[in-house]
Amino acid sequence: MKPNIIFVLLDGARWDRLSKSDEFQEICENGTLLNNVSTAMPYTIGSINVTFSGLYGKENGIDGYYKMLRLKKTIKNFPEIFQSQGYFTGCDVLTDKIIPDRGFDIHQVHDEYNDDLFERHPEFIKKCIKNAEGKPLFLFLYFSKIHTITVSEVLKKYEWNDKNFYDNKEKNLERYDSGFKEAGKYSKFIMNELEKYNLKENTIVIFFSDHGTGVGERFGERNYGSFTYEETIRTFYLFTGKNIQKNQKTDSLRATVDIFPTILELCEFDLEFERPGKSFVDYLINQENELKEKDFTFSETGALHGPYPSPDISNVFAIKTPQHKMMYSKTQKEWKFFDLKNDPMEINNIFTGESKTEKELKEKLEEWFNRK
Amino acid sequence: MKEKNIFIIILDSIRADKFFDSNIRSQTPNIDKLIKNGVYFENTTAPSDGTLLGWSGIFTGQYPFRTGINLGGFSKINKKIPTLFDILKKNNYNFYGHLPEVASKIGLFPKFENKNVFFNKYTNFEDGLGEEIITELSKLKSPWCYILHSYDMHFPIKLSEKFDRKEFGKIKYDRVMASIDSWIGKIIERVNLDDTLLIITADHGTHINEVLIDNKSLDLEKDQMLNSMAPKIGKIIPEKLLPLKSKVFFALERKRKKQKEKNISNLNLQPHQLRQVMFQRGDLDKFLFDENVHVPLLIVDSKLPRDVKINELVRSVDISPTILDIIDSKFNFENIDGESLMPEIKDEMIDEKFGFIENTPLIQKKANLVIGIRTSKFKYFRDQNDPSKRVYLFNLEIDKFEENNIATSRPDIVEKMEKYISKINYTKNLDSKTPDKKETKIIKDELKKLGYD
Repeated sequence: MKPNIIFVLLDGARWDRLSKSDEFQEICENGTLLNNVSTAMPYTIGSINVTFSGLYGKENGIDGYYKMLRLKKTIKNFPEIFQSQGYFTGCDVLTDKIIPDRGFDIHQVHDEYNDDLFERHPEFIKKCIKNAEGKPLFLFLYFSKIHTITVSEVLKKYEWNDKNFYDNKEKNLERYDSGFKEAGKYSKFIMNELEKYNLKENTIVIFFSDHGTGVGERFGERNYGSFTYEETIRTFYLFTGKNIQKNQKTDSLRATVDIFPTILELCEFDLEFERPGKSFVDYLINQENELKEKDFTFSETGALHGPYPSPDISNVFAIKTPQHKMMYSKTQKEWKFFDLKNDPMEINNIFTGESKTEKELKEKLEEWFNRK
Repeated sequence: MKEKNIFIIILDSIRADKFFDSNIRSQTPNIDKLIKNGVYFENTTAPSDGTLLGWSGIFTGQYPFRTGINLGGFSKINKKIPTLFDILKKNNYNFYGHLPEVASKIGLFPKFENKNVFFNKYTNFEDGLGEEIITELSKLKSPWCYILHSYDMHFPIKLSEKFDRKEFGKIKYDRVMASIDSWIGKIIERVNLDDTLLIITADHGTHINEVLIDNKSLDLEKDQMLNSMAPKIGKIIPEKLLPLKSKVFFALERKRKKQKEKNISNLNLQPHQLRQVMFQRGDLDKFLFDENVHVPLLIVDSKLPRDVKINELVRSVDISPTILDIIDSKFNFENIDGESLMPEIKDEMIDEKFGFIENTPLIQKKANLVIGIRTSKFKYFRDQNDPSKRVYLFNLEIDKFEENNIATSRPDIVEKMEKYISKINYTKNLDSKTPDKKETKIIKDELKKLGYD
């Protein structure tokens, strides 16, 4: 029997705040945590569709907030693929626009302000098991609490250029952590619920973040989606369940485009998609002790607000290596270069354009964002 | 150097499996002999299931949707699109031909030197056309390019008594094939193949309504009123009553279909036989099965090898560039879909080709058309406007009759086929559309709802 696959999105969760939740740490002990996964796009709609299609925005059709309805009909994403392989597919998400209903047997939306996900999601899982009639499950659960707190406590209170927000980073972080603690409780609750339904044995659960959340580190970014600094593009993926190595953690660099081939290989589908990502199954099932690191990853964004908004199409691009990051703002025509090992907070822009590394990364990034 | 003459024979509605096949049932000694003397492409795909689109593909080297032929019903070929004839003209060729009347209306064909080029669509070789061609062949001025389009297999089929006999095949299609073959023999006898490049192909394939059950023929179209009356009806109805004719046509089609359903209910037909016997010209759901687009392609030329069969996929759009290559034309096409087949003939390593296919629209009514891709291994087609509707995928290696649709279980192959469609920039590809005002408003409202206002 093929394994059930359950994706649990902790919207906006930061990789560097996982230790703030004991419950989440407990789950980590039972699985493999990749703690340095570059999201291709640091906002939900862009990010989810990259993860679920294995293609960057330009190729899957969603390379801007305003392209949210443009997932190409000609490409296949997870729900369609899982459905084609005999799975029952369902999702409970924040909005029906997050991911189209293509391929979903159940495609339902919750109200982030009024629905209690601790009640709603067990009911949803129960409904899916019943309707699946013995088929394996592909489910996508969306935990939206961090988003709700960000909207009501930040976006509704501060304009993007309000100094009061950027001057209170510590307070902002405290508020953020309270949201993440909720996410940890929710994660443990879901694991317990799956156990109740005897789903733990043959199920792989993936807790993941679509992007991080800025707490005032960069002027012009109240939450995410404006730039490509670590606080928003570095994400995590925690795999637990059938055949997944327990208590394993890595900071090796990977990208969200790698999730697609990994999941397909985990499920042993006899399908061949042309995708840019590379599977890391061997690491998850302990056939390799070290996660093979990527030489570089790509990210891009186009902000809704802030000093350089570009909701139609991405205007900020980044290439990240285990050591460095090069960024380019198309609007400002400005390059930035950071040494991530010695300057993990990306405070000092050391761009000269002269060093061999800079030249190589600049060329690679230009080639990537100019691709046809 | 003396220019080579070119003789292009297009056999309307002739399917590849009826032209050359190890299990062939028809009597085609002349075609068999020509195949032994030339290069036969076993896997040739026509660009469409209709004549006009088929011609436009063959003679422009481009997929029909690029040529203007199928925009808003049928129209003329875009004048800016270069044709094989434009290029041959620069090489000082003289053009001769015998073609059905409709060929005179689409702006594709050149000015012909002979008289009586265009014949009524109910004219067959046996009706005097064959003799006329033979006479014409003795008068050609070199270098010449002769285009012959045979309508013998075109609906409605007429068959002379001479060939309507068991020895020429068990079903009518095979007997007509035998008749066509005998005329090809007579015609080619008059041609000096030492200085002539000969191409024989078809514009498209066809459904065969007749099937053999327990070695007996079952023809569900036999004696149908519309078949036998069609020539007369077409002539006597004035133009202003054509909409009425169209209504009557579709009403009769529905009636015939019901009758057919009754007739076949007790027969144990295979799915591919069933779809063929049930096919009617008035069907609004169109498909692109191989019986419609898998066509023969035979090239005979003194400088090419003999008795060679090529299995790689090639396309009708490759015919014109191949002709220009073989005659060493000083002029050539630029940026077309077709490619010369000389690398295949020389057995050189080449990338696998794919052929784009599209339905020919109905004139009278809006039909549900499909577009698709043919590779040597797979056949794919789906709704013309929506990639998620009416999706069909067949693995031809293990399912040559296209009976087992694997589109649902092989999304990876479907996606690969869509990539091919996007590669050729099919103009109706919805994915290329950018958000309009209505869509932008939906998105802005959604973002507001998410708290991003």
